[in-house]
Amino acid sequence: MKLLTHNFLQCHIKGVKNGYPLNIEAVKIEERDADFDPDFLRSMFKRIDWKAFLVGAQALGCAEGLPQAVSEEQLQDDGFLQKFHHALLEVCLEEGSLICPETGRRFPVVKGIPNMLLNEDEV
Amino acid sequence: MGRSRTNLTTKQVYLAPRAEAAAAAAAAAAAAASTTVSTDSTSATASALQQLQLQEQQQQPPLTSASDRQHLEACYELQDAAPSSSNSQQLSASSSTTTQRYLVYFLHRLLDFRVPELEALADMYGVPNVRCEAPPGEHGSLGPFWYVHLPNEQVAAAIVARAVLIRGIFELWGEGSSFEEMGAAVAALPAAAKAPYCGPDTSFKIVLDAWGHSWSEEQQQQMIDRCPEFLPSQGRVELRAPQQTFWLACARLGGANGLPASEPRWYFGRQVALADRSWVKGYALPRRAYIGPTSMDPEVAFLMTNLAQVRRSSLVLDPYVGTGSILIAAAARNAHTMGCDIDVRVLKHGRKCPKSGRQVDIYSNYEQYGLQYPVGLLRMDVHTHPFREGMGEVFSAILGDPPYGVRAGGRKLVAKSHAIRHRSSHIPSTEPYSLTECLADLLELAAVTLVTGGRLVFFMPASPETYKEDQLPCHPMLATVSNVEQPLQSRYSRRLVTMVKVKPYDPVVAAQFKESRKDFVMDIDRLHDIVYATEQQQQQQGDGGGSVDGSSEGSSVVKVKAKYRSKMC
Repeated sequence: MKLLTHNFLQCHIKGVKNGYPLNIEAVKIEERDADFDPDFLRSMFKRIDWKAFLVGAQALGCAEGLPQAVSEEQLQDDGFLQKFHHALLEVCLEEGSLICPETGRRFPVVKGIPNMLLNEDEV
Repeated sequence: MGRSRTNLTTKQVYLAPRAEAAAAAAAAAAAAASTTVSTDSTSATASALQQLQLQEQQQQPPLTSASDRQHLEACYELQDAAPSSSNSQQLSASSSTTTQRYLVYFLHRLLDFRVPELEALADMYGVPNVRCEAPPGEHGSLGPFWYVHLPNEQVAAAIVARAVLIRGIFELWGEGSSFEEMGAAVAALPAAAKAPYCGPDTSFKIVLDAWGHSWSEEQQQQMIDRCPEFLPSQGRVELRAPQQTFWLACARLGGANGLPASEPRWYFGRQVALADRSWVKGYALPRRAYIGPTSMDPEVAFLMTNLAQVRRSSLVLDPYVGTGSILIAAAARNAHTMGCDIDVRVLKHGRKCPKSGRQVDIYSNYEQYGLQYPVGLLRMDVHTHPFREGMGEVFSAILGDPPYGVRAGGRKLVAKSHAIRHRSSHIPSTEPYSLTECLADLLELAAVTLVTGGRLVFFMPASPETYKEDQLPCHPMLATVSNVEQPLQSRYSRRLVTMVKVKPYDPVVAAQFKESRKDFVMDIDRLHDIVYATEQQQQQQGDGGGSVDGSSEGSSVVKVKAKYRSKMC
């Protein structure tokens, strides 16, 4: 699971108010090269929650060099985009869990695929 | 459909058993030549595109030895560049001023899908509401030739390079119900229109194409011998890489194989762009590492990406990813792909390849074609999806083949209140998911997560008994662009629906709409009963005895005679 996916997910158990962002418990992290696509990065930047992204990057150990807030100029800067690209698309959580901040419910991540299915009493 | 296709010239008869490859190779060169010759007719805005095209053709490796992947990449270079940002706007501006009529030659398959694909691609390359009409003659809309009005040859070439169901686009020089009438029309064309393509320095060839019938060698030779009557070409004949290729085509059903015979319609045109279909073989399912019983035919998957206007840097979601067969096509368009499925087996475990004993999964397919890995794979249920509130507009396109119960039935999570003992290893129970509900959830997901202007393309089943226009799923944020049928058997077909998000999501309107559709159930939800009904049950229905839904409305249409279609459908 990449941080882009993490950014889109929340705990959707019935009744949970505060299910975002999910905390990450990493067991195995892998890095895989992905094509650098500045247009895609800029369009994704507008659509992700930056704070949640930083939380995720911290957990996956790739937050270095990522600013607390991003300016328009930085979005045109290749240096920043490379770092953003690396954290967003190249670092993958292979094994671990996503944990709901409110209930502590663990969503397991196995082979890089988070299991977001709910049990019968959570729907 | 019997069809003879050979390349003939005024000086030589060339009868290779499979001349396809040679013709395709020649087409690339011819297209390159045509861009240089026709600069007078192009606007300045198109020149960037033209350069790209030339560049693309230089990159293109020779067809005979081309690896499919490299070749595809070269093909897509142009397509992706064309619509991005400013180019398409400039093109659309020029399109509103003048358009020219071209002849488009469709493949004879997935008949109803052909025009929507052309429209979607034209729209993508800056020609909204493209005008296309069926030419005169009795073939009507089912015939292989159509007129299309496009601003210039560059747009035509871009469309042909990406289309799945187009063989080529031609500049029509003459047509008629007989060879003589067509020849006279070409002869009557002003000399100035023909001169740039018929000079002494312009090499050429003529391709003879009989659609729906066949010609003997002598007939072909006779036709070629008569071409100088109307074609003033002075250049030398060049079969392998001519600068200009002319097509002499005749559409006539020969009446073979129990199909109806029809009157001929002759066309003569100058080739503007010819499709290279070598990629189809490269993506064929039998050679794919990981497939399942519902893997999407690659041509249809690529068609879906065209209808959805998937382009470079798009983020594309398939909510029913399965073996990833639709996402592969999107990834081949250089889009970023994301897939989810409720079934963990297909996602995580894959299967063991019977030949090599190797474990294969979705990633194996991406590796096989050298594509960029998906940005995310998720196990989730669309009915209770985990996408965060306020995520807003994220996906440029959503493509999907929802489970509709003939080969694979839909499942969704179910709420129960029994005690769960081992949470970590518990397998949540699911219940069947009706198609009505499944599609309503899909449309709701699209209404929320698509960017405005983004497209949703999905299949749904239909049967002649139950299909009614007003049964189609709908949503206040989405408008239907096209809705076309692919017949599968006499009892049911599937429809490919393309929708576009027309306005930003309004939760109040969406909630009201959901409330108003609370009790709506599509008739097609009993598809399984229709498809697997025994002869006896059908008979009973026919007698008006016990029709499945209690109405006798559908009973008289059980024996619906299919429209004339090719076997390939």
